[in-house]
Amino acid sequence: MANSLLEVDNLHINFISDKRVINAVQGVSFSVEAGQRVAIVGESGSGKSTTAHSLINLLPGTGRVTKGSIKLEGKQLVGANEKVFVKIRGKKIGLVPQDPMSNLNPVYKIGKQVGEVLDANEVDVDHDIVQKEVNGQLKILHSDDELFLGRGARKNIENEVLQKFLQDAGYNWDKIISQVDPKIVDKLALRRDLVNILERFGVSKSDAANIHNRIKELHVRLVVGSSIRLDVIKTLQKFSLSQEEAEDLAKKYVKGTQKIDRIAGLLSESGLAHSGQRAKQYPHEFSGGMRQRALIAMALAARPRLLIADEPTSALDVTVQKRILDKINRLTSILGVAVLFITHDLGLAAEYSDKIIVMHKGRIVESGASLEVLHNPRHPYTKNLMQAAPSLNASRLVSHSASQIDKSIQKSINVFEFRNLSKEFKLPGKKRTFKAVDNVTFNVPRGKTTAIVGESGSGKSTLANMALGLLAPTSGEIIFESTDMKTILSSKKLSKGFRQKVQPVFQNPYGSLDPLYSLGRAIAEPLQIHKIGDSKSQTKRVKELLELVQLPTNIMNRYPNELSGGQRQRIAIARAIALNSELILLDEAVSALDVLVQEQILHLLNNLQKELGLTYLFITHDLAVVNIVADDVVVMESGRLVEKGQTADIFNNPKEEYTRNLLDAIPGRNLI
Amino acid sequence: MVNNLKSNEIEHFVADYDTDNLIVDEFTIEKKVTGIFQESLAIVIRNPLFWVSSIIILILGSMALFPNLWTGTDPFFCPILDSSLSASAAHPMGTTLQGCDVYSRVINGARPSLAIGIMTTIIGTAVGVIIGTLAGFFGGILDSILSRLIDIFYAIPFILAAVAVLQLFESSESIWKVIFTLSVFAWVSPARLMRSQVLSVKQNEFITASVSLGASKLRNMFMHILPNAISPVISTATINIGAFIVAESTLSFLGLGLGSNSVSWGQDIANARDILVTTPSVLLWPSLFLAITTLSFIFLGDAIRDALNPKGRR
Repeated sequence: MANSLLEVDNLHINFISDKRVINAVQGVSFSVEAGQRVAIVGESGSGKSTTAHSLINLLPGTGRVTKGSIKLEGKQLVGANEKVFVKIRGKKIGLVPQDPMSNLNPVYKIGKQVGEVLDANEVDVDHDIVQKEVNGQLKILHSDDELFLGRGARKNIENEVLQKFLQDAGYNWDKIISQVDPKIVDKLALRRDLVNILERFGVSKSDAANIHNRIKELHVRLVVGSSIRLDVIKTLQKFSLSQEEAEDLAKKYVKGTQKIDRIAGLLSESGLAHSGQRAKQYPHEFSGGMRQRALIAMALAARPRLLIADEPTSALDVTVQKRILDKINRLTSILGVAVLFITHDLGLAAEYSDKIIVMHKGRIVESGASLEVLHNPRHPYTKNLMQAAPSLNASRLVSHSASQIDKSIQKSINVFEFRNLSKEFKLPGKKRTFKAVDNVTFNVPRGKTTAIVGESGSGKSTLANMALGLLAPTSGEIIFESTDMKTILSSKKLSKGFRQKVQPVFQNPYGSLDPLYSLGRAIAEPLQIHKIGDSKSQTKRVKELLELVQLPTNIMNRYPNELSGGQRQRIAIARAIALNSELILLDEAVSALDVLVQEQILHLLNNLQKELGLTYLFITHDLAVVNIVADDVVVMESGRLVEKGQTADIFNNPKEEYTRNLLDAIPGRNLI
Repeated sequence: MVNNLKSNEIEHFVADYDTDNLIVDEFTIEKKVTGIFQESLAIVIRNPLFWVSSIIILILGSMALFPNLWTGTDPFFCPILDSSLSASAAHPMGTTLQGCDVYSRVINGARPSLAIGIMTTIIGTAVGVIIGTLAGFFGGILDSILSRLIDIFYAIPFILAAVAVLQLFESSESIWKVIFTLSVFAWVSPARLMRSQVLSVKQNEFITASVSLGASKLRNMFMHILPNAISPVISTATINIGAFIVAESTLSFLGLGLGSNSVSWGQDIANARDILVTTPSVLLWPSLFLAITTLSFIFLGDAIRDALNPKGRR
């Protein structure tokens, strides 16, 4: 085989921090062929992003390539100067960054930012660069067939096609055209009232409507600034023009485009509807998914040979994630662009790549064809990853002992009952209100795990805050252990009891512990607040709790900054169970953790539930995790309850379209 | 996909492994216990700027507390015969137009300057922290009122207002009138800083967690919010000491500060105006001491800020 597109050989990258050398990447070798989709999978700190950023010389801070080689199309990049990289970025290697929120300049319109890429790379806006396979090799073709369709050209083509349609239907075009107001003749095909105009000049109603519909369809297929002459010919043939007619029309009119139309074309390629108007908007008018689409358009604007997608969807909702990745996938395979996909999710990697590279602590531990690695993992680390990946597992962790549930029989069956619960917020500056939670009714049964699933804006966090008694509902009732929440909160004694029984664990492990408190003091705080025991018995209890969450007891005098994210979550859990709580509200409590750590925490939670008979209200956007921890599921969308039921039922037999979409968005689910 | 890249042509590579390397999320105990304070101390000790500024401030402090250690000459002993002498063994920095010893006056000027700078900072920061915390913590109407109050004080021209406030006092020699005057304005910027700090610390999840535990508002304010919010206020306060020393000399220079019968660097700089051309050293020495003092406090404040809030600390 000839040269690979990208060859990385024995790459070493170091960082210097606090005078210590950190070997972030230690001897990584791999290759990417032209048009191939390669995924690098690894946890945080595995060196996957560092490797990707070294390809375009964008290592942060003190990062340096110390050894090894990176060859792009046979040219050595290690040691190359900045000028070389400026030429490569955009033109040879495009980058879709991780965070769409911070990667667009808020003061410029989207179109201007896309245009900047065209300018910076001196892209010829009249021609596309299309790569085609010739004798098993991808070759760049350049000919007049790669000319873009311009705005005026589309109008003319549509008029000519209209003429043909009318003639085919047996009408006299010249006669009709002579009666039409000359001002609108050359825009006739674009008129919204085309049906009426045609009818007035003797075209039957059904013919006119039929013709108008086909013209509208053609209009959608011909994208100004994106369709090239070849596409136009193919499209016209689909509209019953002969090859000769189609080629004549295309050669007559398709002669290149303007920059503004090329920008709109690029945006529409990456899936933005009404791209012409979108180009005139500012980033703040775009949602996260739309911004990521704009960034994809920018990354592919100069038609690079390789696209680096660095966790392009980890900041997005799951259903958006699926659409974006599908788009990248389709677009790059049409354009023949190779993809280097960086992700922490083995399921995503398998679904969207041909080849998987698994990295761990700066080294490649396993690599191979995606399905081969997924079905036949050989390295123990890969096996661990597979086992831990919630999306690739189908069953609930083994749960609760029956004895615990019997013991609590004298208590109410449901810890929480939410009845017709609604919460409205006043929109600032406007008179309208916004319904964050809309008429939600469900129960949280004792000793079980109830999951609330929803994407951002579904109202799940508002619901959580109401369950914690931190927000008052606008209407509806919250019943906690047979007592109305309003009664509880208005009585000092009852609310103190409530605060003992219901505890939260939050998402961000770095924000959930006071950095100034030693770990022992943090865990003892609930005991001090509720004045339980003296300092000696409190210390004893703290040690007990540390053992329960499987941390060494000699870390009591240490501070949160020494702990990893998973260890901090353990401390937060220890705090939450310190007062023998009955219900723990887990608000995205494992979402920020690496998959192996996440698995450990989920097991810990499960064991604690078994030992202590705890009830969990598990709030998450990740349906895959729900599958392995929850007994019951409540699906929410824009404040409303979409579907509720037992986990197995929801997963095997979803009744609502929205739930099905969520389930389909779980990566790798169909591959196992 | 392109045909020549069929998956069976991709080699399945597996690295050698040792299972020890695969332990997940292990807690490794480092040798030392490193709390936030110990860590800050370790950072500050390694900072040369901290040592240089501390030593200078210690020297200045000894001048302020024990001027007799440095000079035996009375700063008010001004024989007119010694007018405008250049440096000599008896007068290492020369004498002023009135014949006073410049060295003695510079040494004795340290006390009022330092006292005013430090006292004003303490009073201003204390008031500012209280007002800022109340505004940030309780929010609502109280926040609106206090924030507008802060805005009003920001809008008042300092010199003009100082003139007005100083009119309230009988012309006494006490440094307290200057401290009071400066304090009227000194609380404003710490209050604003503290308010924004409290607002941002309040967002943290550990505060919500603490509320969910049943902790009272006061407990949250004093045990969690205040300690986490105060460190930038402390470092800016240190830097402000220098600024207040300059402010005092500005007032004295304008004849508004301490009376002409007391010693202070600002006073001496004002007096030196008249003989600037003939004996510039009279202006040089008090100015130099003023600049060194101000810089030392700014450096110290920088060092404290770096220690309390190093980049990357969570």
